[in-house]
Amino acid sequence: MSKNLDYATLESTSKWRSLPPPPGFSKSITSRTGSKTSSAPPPEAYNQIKEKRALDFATAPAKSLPMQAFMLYMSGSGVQIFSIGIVVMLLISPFKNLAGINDAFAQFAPSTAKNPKSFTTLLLQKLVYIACNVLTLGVGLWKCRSMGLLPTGTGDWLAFETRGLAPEIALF
Amino acid sequence: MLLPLALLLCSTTTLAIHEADVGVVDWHKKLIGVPLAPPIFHHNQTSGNLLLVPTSSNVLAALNATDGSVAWRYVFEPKDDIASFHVGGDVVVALSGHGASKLRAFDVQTGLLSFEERLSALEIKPTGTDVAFEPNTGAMFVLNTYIISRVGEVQWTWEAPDKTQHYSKLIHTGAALYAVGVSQQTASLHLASINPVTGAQIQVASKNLPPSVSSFVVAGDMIAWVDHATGSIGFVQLTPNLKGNIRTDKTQKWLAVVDVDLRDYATFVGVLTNGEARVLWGRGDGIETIHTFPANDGPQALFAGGLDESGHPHVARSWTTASGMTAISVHTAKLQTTIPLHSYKHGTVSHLAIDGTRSVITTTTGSVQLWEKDQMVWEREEGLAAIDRAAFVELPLPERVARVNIEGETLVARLTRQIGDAKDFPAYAAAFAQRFVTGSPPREEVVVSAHNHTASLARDAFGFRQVLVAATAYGTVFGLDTASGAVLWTRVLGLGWAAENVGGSVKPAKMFVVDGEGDGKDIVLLAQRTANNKLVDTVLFRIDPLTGASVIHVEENTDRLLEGTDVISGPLAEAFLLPESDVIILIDEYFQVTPYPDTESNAALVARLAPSLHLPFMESFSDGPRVVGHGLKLDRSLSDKYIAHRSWGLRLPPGQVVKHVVRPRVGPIASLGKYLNPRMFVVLTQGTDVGSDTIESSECGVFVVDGAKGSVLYSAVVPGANAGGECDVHATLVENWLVYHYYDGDGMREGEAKGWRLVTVELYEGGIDEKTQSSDMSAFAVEGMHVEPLEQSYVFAHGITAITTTSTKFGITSKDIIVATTNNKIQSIPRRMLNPRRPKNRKPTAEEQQEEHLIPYDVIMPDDPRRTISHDYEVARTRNIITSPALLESTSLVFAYGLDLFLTRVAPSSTFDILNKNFNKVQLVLTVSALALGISIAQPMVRRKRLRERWYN
Repeated sequence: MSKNLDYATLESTSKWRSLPPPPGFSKSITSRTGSKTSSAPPPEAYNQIKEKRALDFATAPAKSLPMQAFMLYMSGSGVQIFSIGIVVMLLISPFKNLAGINDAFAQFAPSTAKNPKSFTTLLLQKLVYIACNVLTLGVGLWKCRSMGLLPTGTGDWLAFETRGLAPEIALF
Repeated sequence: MLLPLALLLCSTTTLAIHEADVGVVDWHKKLIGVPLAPPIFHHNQTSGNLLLVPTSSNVLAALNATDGSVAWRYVFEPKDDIASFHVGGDVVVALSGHGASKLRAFDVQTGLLSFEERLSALEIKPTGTDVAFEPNTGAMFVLNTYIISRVGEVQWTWEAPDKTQHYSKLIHTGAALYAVGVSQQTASLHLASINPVTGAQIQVASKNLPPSVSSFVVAGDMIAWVDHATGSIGFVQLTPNLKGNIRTDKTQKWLAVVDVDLRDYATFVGVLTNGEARVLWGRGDGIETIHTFPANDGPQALFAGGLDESGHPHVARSWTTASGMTAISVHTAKLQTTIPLHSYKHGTVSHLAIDGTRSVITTTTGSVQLWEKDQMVWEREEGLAAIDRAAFVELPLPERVARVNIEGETLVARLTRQIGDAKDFPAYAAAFAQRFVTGSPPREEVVVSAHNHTASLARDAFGFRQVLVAATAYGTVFGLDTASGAVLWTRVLGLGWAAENVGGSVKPAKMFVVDGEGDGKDIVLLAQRTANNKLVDTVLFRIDPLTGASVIHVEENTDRLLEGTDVISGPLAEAFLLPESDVIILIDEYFQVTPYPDTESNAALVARLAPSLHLPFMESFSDGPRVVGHGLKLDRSLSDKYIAHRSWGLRLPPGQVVKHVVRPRVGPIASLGKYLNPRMFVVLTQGTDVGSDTIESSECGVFVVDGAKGSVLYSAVVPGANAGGECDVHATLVENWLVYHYYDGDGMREGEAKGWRLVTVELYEGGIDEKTQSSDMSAFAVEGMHVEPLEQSYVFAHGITAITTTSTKFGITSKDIIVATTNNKIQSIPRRMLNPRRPKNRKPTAEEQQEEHLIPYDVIMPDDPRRTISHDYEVARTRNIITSPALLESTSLVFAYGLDLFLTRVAPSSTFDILNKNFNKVQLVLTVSALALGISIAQPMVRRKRLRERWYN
């Protein structure tokens, strides 16, 4: 047997119950929720909007690229705190984004989706999103290369060079 | 505002040495060379007494008699050999050069050249030179074989009427000037008397002498000699008409007469056949005995005479006593003393000079010593002016550090040892705290001061302290402390079987540093012992570099001559150290290969390596020396030893012979792109026809040769001949970098000026962006011949006498070129200046500037005095420079030897691995402790605030 505290009865018996509401207080919450349910769009349209929003979200990294490219250009090719900061951001954010891709797109999942966090929901948008992030990464790598930070030269791999002895030995 | 800028400049370039470092990082020994003649005392009341001496290094020097320091010296040019030197009053006169025709007069006190005169040269080789001084006028008479010249205000020259009559002594008396010579072929005494004022000939005469007379002495106006056939003494008095008769004294049996430089006192020494020696006085009409030295009890008697400070003549005799000591007895000073001169340390006495009770001896090993009675006042090791081979040896770790790695130690033993060591911990902790707080490290650990002789011989933290082992041409080996230049030990190389009754000399040929017992190193010195009967042996000495003791147990005693072991009975052709081992292979004149140490395992090692070994070395042929490559093979039918057979010969342009072979300096870093053929070496050649003026013969060649097959990888022909027509090209090769220097006597093309050139060459693999793994490629691979040289040449301000590169432990630090210039400086030229990639006719791009520090090419290499690393020392006649890595990667030790010795350390890329001396450690410590204090104050405050926030939230 459980006892529920019946606040309503308490309230009703309360002497404050008959007090007029404070100025500006509107009791129309119930009426508003009622109107909302009545004017809600159909679920299909709602899903379409969600898809559109998801596409916008997927292309967002690409949209910020021109700005980032400009910032990279302005930061110069020297290895300094600003250019390093920007490059690190460019290099890390794609991976961070891709790691959280399913969570980020869960909010745009159509109501029909069985599992909003599955990779297959909104697959197209997610692929676009991946492409845009790879683009960002590419810009970051390009910047690294122009700063001379990519170990592309043979001189960068000297530590792993192995040299045997020449077959002939000349003594002096 | 300027000061920080200046500091910044100093810290970034670090080209010049700081004045504060002089004497701390470097030391310099000013030497004069081994004396050729007995030193002459010169007395001066005001500025002290001097010792004047000519040396075998072609130096005329004056030493301060009080402390043995060099008062002054005059270094003669290599082709300007000193023929004789004479002291008269306050003037020293030296005759030198071709035909002894150059006369130079020096002020005795200052050594300043007062005048120089070129006398008429002879057509023949001079046989006798002498100088007589005219009192009061400052004029002098110079005799050169058959010409007498008066040098002074009035000048005249007298030439003998018969040029076959050669004179050797010049005597100036008030009456006339006499020239005296003796000829053994014609058995005659030549005399000439000349008017000293006009130079007119008064009389020329020739008197018959017994044919056994070969020399004579001058005593006042008398000439005396000994006839060896009869043992009689003969003499003649000089008069202007030369009518004096020869008289003989047959009362005693004489052996010889000795000139003791007391000509003006008519005093000389006669040695009798019974061993007695007599001080004789020529009275004009006869000879009187002043003093008799009794027969001495040992061989090798030397006589010396001289005036003491008050002007009294002294005559001294020195001899080796039967007990091996050196005895000196001085007549008139009534001194008889015995000085402990050990032949195992200094050899035997070669010259004696006397000044009252003080005596100066010079020894066969080049030691100059001044003894006051039987106390040594000072000593100079002049043998160091003739170093032939030198090597740096790293010191072992200090005992307390080295002890840690004891193998096979039981647990209990280790615990006991560690507990025992723990008692040092408080001292260590205190020292650590002090070092951390004050920032001043314990002195001996970091900075090895040049004046700190007391520290025991152990490695310092940075490895700046090493032992320098130097073998000299006088058969001595020295151990020098690189921190101070102090002589740690001296050994004299013995003559082995030749010592008994033949005599001879030992000349160092090669020196190797090999691993010894424990973590120590040994010196292996190979020397050629040439007996006086022309027999040559190769002797091997294995020495502990710390003590000079022989590693061979039978002769560990350092109080003996170092005898070594005879390894080859015959001359040594070459010796090589096998790679990655301590085995030396010796090649004798028949090209037989003997490993040292001669053990089974070493013979097996030679057998294993034999197919891949290639030994290029110089051989003499009828048309001059050539470089020939050798392989090893075993032919049991000929010999049971491996034989070095000729596998290739270097083909040179016609008329060229090899002058010198420059061995490569080994760099440990292998890098792509660089042409790193470990078999490369440099051959310098010169024309066969030295001395002729034709262009072809004055050309000099520089060849970079592959040692396995003799192919030329780079070659250049330069006009490097000096005035004598001899090639004066110097080169150094490290990794793929060749630098050579020559004198361009007459611009090869129009518009080129005379001057010294410095050429830098780098060899790269294949073409652009082509890599062929040259360092481990076979010498016979086709790609091996794809070599791309990059070269640039510069006008250099000085001639050089030696060139080398710095060497560091891992070879990461860039390499500087160290040169010894003819103006007696040691300079270090940065790699940046000699990069053959310096862009021509354009500015280097930002990338080139940033990454390679390239600077635009400029044909003139400015004479930057900041490049001089020898401060204001005079480092004269440097013959060679050797470098050695320290424990610090940034630093390299540099030792230059020749006449002078100079050692310093250089950091080509600045000392990036130690903190700057100006680093403010106090500030750092204060900042850290202030931060710690701040944290300890702020922490409780913050904690309290957090707590309060939780309560009232």
